[in-house]
Amino acid sequence: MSFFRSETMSYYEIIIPRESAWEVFNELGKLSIIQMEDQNIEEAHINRHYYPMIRRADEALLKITAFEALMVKFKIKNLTCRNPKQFLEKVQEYGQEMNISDNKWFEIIEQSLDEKYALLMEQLQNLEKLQLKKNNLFEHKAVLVKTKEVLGTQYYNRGRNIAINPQYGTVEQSNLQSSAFNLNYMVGVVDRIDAIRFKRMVFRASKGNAWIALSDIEYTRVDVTLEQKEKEENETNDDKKRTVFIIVYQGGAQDFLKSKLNRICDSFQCSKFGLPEDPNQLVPQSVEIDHQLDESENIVNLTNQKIKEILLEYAAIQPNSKVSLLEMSKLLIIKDKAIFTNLNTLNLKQTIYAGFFWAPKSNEPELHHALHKLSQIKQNVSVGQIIEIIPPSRKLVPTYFKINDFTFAFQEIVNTYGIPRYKEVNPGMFAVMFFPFMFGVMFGDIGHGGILLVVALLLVKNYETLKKDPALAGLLKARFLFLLMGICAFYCGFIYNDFMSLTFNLFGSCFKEVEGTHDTEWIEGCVYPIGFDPKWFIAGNELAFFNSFKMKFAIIFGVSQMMFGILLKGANNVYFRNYLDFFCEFIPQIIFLSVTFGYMSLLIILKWAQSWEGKTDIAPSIINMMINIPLMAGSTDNQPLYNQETQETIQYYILIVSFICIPWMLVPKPIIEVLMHSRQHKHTSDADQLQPVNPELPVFKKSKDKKTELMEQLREELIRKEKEKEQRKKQLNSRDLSDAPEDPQIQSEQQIQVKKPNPQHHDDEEEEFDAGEIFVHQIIETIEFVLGAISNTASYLRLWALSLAHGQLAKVFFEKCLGGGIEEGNFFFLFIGWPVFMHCTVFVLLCMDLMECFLHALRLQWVEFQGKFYKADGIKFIPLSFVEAIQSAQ
Amino acid sequence: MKPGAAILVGTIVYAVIGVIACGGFTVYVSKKTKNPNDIADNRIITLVSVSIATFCLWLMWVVAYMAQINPLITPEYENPE
Repeated sequence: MSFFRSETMSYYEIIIPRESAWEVFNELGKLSIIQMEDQNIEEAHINRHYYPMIRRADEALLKITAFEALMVKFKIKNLTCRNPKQFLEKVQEYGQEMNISDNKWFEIIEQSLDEKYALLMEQLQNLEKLQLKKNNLFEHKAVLVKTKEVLGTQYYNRGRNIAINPQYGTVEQSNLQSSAFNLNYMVGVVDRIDAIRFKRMVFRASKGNAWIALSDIEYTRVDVTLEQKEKEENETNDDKKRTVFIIVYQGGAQDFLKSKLNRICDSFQCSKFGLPEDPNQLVPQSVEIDHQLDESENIVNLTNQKIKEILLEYAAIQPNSKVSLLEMSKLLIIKDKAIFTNLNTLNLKQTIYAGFFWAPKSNEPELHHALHKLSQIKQNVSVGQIIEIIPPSRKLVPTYFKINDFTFAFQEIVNTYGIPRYKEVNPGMFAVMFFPFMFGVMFGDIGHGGILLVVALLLVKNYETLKKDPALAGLLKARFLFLLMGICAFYCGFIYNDFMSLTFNLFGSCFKEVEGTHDTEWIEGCVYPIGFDPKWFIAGNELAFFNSFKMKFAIIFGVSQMMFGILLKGANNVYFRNYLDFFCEFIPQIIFLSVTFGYMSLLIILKWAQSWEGKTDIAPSIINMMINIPLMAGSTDNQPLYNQETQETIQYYILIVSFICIPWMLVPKPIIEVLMHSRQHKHTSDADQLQPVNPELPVFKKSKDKKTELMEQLREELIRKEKEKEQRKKQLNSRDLSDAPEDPQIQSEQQIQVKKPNPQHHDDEEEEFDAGEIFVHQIIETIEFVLGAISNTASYLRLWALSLAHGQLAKVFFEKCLGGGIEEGNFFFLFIGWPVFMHCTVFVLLCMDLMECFLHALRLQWVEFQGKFYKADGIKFIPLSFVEAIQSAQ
Repeated sequence: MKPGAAILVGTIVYAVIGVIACGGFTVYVSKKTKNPNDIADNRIITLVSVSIATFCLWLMWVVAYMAQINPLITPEYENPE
């Protein structure tokens, strides 16, 4: 029964001593069946007890992420975990082999991580520094080389007058009179893109008194990789290229020229270098720099080696679990983090932790078994106890469904709208068949449905092999949904007799042509057995027939589905023993729907069942008949469908009954609710909530006697705390209700749904407020239903609209792309037309139209069907589960 | 045969196919279920789904059939043959 209504959940209290807290949660987390209730929800995260541990875990995870990034950069393979469940088992075995208990992993991992991370960071810093130094040396060398090229060996003549001919770039000696002119040099390296600007600025600043030569540094392939490790080896980025500049200027008295030039250099972020005193030193110096370069390259290589060593250590594959050491550390830390987060939800008192959790009742033996197993391993220390208690009445029970691969997609469809309330009928069970069928009606085509079916079959059959490809993961999860959609589309296409706008004639047509005219004649008593007569597909008036059929079918199907939805509402009312709703909502609703649109469906069928031979002109329009029920009090305007008198009487009574239903829905329920409310106001119910289920049942205890007293104390304190919380909440509520009438709907909903409202001090305002709100709520419900009966029924006509669109699109594509070519026998036309036809079919019909039909079927499911009975205000059951935690972190 | 009889025959055929499908799928699902606790649940899901499917597919056929028993209009060609 669990997929029909959700699983029965029980509320448990857990009391564990501090020493075994971690162990107990380690065991429970593997079971994936408990959801802790947060006892400390008012406290900030930072104040909670295990926050430091969680922070440490987060830091460790950050370091692990840094490791992973470095591994990618250095191209070391890091084997990740595919199967979390298997991994957890293997790790436990491994721990047992190595004699490390489970809770020591965290510290071991953290320690080694810290060490290695520090080492790694150190090495990385060294690497950076070395890179910089190398760059520097490289530029220095380039400067010296270029200087030698440009200025020649005799550049340096201090004190002599030298005329420089900038055109030739060489220095000529001349015998000018000595004047106190000094030539000074400034050499360095500037970015290539700035070079021209730099040159211009120097020229302007020095007013033409400085001479500057630029020379690009040529980077060989090796040099490039030295400079830019991450960039491509083949391209060299212009941004990073540098240019050597040599400035010759007159110094001496004009020292400010020097400082100006210095400032210019600084603003362009150039690196400046010094020239050696003796020009003959140029070459030896550059040789020395070469040596230094080689040395530093060696050191760089060594550092890289060291980094790789550290990383390889962490990439080593663990023997049992088949993942790298890094991955194992990561998963274990994630697991620990989950345990600590859940431990934070407990109430701490000295050495005992206590808390509450939800678990499915059917898994209770597993819980006790786990604790029992643990207590056998740890002989001396107690492992605490788990007691089942009745949940306090206001708690929202989580909804839990056991999902398998088949039901997953359908339950997701329902959950996306809203999680089902605890124990209400689960629409997912009916969505399994209704949703694909509605899709099929709209998409109905043998060819297209067949393609969808084949694709889905392939997905289902090859699930195991396709599972490894991460790109297909989403598609694979929905494979059964597509399978059912394909089957329904194929079948509906078979009934529509439509294969990509062509048709089959399997049984022989029931229309024969009349000679000489464009009409056909119906063969008496002949009906095409399954589907539609193929003669329709070549007729000019096919749409008149098909539209009529599809609209009527949509109405018939819609009315059936809506009545089914209302029946489900009745089932819910009976299950929750809400007889008031049963008599005041369910019964009038179903009567109303039956006499209005149920009667319409009946008319449709009766009209089809009669022979209109020779009297097609007096065939009454169903729409007119329906309109005449309210407008002309049921008269048939002399165009009866069946016996005129019977029809008029029946229609008259239909009018009366449907009018009675409306006040029946509107009035009794609020009045009775107000009466019940005021009667309960006289009694006060006992706030005795946290009792154990059955005190005589043997409670599973493994505690020592000296601790029981402490536990009793803690239990009482918990009970007291709960009561205080409830009182506080009630005060807030009553203050809210009298102050803020803006949110009446939700408040009154709460009031209505809670079975035993806890009345202590109701203000008079609150009671009046309730009654008024209940009336308004009921008015809204009634109007919604009555108008909804018409609008939802009409909404089902989208089944007609979309199948018409699909059919016409297929027809247009066929006729325009291939039809012309086939008729004329033109091969070239067909040669072009076929790929166009195929592309149009695949992209427009198989992709876009599929999504469109999916969307509209979804809308019909969510609004028209589920709107009749679905409350959708539950919360989902999210258990503490290591497998989930690992999967969500990946 | 008369349309009324044909509808009855068709309905019976669909019902029989539905019952066989119910049985067949239930057996198949019970065999494939890994966890024996879930067999009862899966059986219910199968039964409900197959019943709804039979009903919907039958409905489609029967409505298509009924629409053609007494045609009000007949096909007309638009261009001369």
